Amino acid sequence: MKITQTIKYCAILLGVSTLAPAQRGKDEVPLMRPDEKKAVDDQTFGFNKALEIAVKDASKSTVLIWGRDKKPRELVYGTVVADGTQVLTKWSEIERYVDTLYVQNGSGEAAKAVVSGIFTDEDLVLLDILGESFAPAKFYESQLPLGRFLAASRPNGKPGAFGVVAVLERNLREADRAHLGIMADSKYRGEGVRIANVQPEFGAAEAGLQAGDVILKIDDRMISGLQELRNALSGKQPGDKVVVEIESAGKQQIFEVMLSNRPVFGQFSGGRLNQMERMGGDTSGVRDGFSRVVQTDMQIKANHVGGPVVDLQGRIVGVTMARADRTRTYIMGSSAVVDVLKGEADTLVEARTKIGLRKKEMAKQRLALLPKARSQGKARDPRRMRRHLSDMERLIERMDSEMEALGER
Amino acid sequence: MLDETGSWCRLCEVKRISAVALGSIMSFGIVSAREPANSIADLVKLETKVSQVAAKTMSATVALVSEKTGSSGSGVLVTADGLILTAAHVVQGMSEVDVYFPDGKKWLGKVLGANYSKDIGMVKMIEAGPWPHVELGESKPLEAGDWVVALGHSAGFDPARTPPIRFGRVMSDGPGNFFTTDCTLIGGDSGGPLFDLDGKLVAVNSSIGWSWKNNNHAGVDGFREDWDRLIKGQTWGTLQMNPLANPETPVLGIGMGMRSRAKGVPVQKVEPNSPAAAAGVRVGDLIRSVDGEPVREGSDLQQVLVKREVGDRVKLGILRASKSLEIEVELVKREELYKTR
Repeated sequence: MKITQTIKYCAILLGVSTLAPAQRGKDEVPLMRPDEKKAVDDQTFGFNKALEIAVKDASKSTVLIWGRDKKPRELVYGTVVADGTQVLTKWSEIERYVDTLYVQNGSGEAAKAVVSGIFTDEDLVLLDILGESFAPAKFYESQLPLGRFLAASRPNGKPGAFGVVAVLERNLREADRAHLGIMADSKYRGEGVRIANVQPEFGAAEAGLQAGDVILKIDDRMISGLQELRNALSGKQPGDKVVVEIESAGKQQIFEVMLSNRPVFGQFSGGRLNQMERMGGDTSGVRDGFSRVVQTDMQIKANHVGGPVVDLQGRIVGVTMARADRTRTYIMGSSAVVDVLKGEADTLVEARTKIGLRKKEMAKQRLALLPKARSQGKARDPRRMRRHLSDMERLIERMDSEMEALGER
Repeated sequence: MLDETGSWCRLCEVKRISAVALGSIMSFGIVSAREPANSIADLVKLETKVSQVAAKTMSATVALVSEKTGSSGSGVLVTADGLILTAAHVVQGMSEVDVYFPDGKKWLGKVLGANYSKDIGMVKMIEAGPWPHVELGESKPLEAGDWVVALGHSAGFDPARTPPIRFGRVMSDGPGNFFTTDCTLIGGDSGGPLFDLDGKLVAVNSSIGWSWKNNNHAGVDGFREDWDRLIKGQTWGTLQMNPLANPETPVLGIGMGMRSRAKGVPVQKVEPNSPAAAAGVRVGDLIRSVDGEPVREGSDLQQVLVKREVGDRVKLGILRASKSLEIEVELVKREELYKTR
């Protein structure tokens, strides 16, 4: 038999440690029968038709934002706010084009836009529309319960994406989480968590904890391992005090530790990787660190975020903030949006200074952690290697999809 | 000569085009099996059900974490005394596992059995309970378009959030006990539950492909078949991402000949003691259809069979010495006929 084309069955197991990029196959779903394809396609058609009714009004308040370098570029969507002369959108997506922006609604009406103010911490920007006004969004402020159906609108009156509330509103900001200021020794196999390194100027170090100490208890909670330690701290706020029981050189000791803000540089995120992950455009460049967002399973395109999100009754319940990965899209609920708009915005200079400082701080913290990690045999630590491996795999995926995108043009 | 259990790479482009033409013939009877979604009123009904499923099942959706290996998957409790269903690869190489509930509380579980071919496994809570648990549903009746809700501790247990809910539908049924949905999964979701709209467990999460629409689940009926062995702690089977090489893939027991000008699959060998042999399939027969569905070449036949289940009876349309005849054959597991490594 002649082999005309090789098709690999591309499925990968879902253990955290075993996630690997699959070989990209020809079919989205291998082994899908024609009758199955027809059934789901018909269903999708009916479903989207029904959603069109829900997004109808909101789409009038949805604009496409353009920028120009060598040629005009479609950047991202935006939500018309205030009296119809302002647009709220995603700051990181328009940052490079602040002098060449214009906005366009579904009827094709376009107008120049300039930056009014930036909500740097939420990666949002408010634009002034020059000499034109569009239909402003009416925000419907309500709690978004688990399972609530949501649709993202597009300027053209079609739903851009559908999803359900996957996780209730929460704060993703690492800096707002309580933190002891230690690095755990991943090679330690006994009960508790052995400290590999204490971070200077953080709570644990200030209280006198040292590398080699084994944490056995936080308040009254036994700590069997790292996950348990994380859980014990998850309900706490920075500034709270906890009683830490440790074993040091065979002796048990009690310390009182004031919990710190978590370092901006999260445990293992990499700026370099973030940059690379933007390639291909599948996920948003800035997709974390929001202070009040609802997680959904919406499969929205990264350049279709920034617009309104409606419930089935057509009420605007939020705006899309970021496509984070395969399973997650973040939206900001209407109450949070209204609060953000009431707050004070940064100027262009302030926003850029803030971002510059943050990058510097990240670099500093990373440097502070590196030498110690290296001395522990960084290259041989299997967890670290796995992480490197998965970083590499993600890079390969990005490059792969970039190549694919180029091929399609 | 290639036997029917050979490598997947034999599916070729030509077949795909020919398959499209069959579409309209087979699309009856599916529509009635699922809830409609053609109006806002339909969607509101679905929404209510999804919310109810989430509320009903959340507390029984656990994370299975090994501090030693650093691996993290999911599972779901199905009895008050703490029986957990999960994916085989989640508990691979473990005898005990930490069980985290969505409220952050940790307990210890004992790993029971696992069938790697189906990617199903069991864990039992050490403490007696009573534990929150879900009801078992059925996976065999599921068809493309049936609505489902997936849960799991995506990317590992995170005390800052409950296990994310995903809503979607069955995209494709099979191979074997597996099926595909568009509920997006990611690392850590493995072993997590998939529910029907009544909140009954229909599968556990198993693997993903590149596409967002390609999320694979191991059906709950596969657990039923292996229930006693799993409870007893037996471990068997092979983790196999290629469905044609899976030891539990259904086969006829024939060797396929080279493609000829005639449309169909020439039988070049009949395995002794195979169901094909028992039913009277002979070397030299040309298989032209399966249950009335035309097969033009070997890859068509493979694709049809891999979507059936062991024990299913299929009607082969055969051309023998210029005469058409029909032979009914019961499918068996590949491992019963061929040695697998």
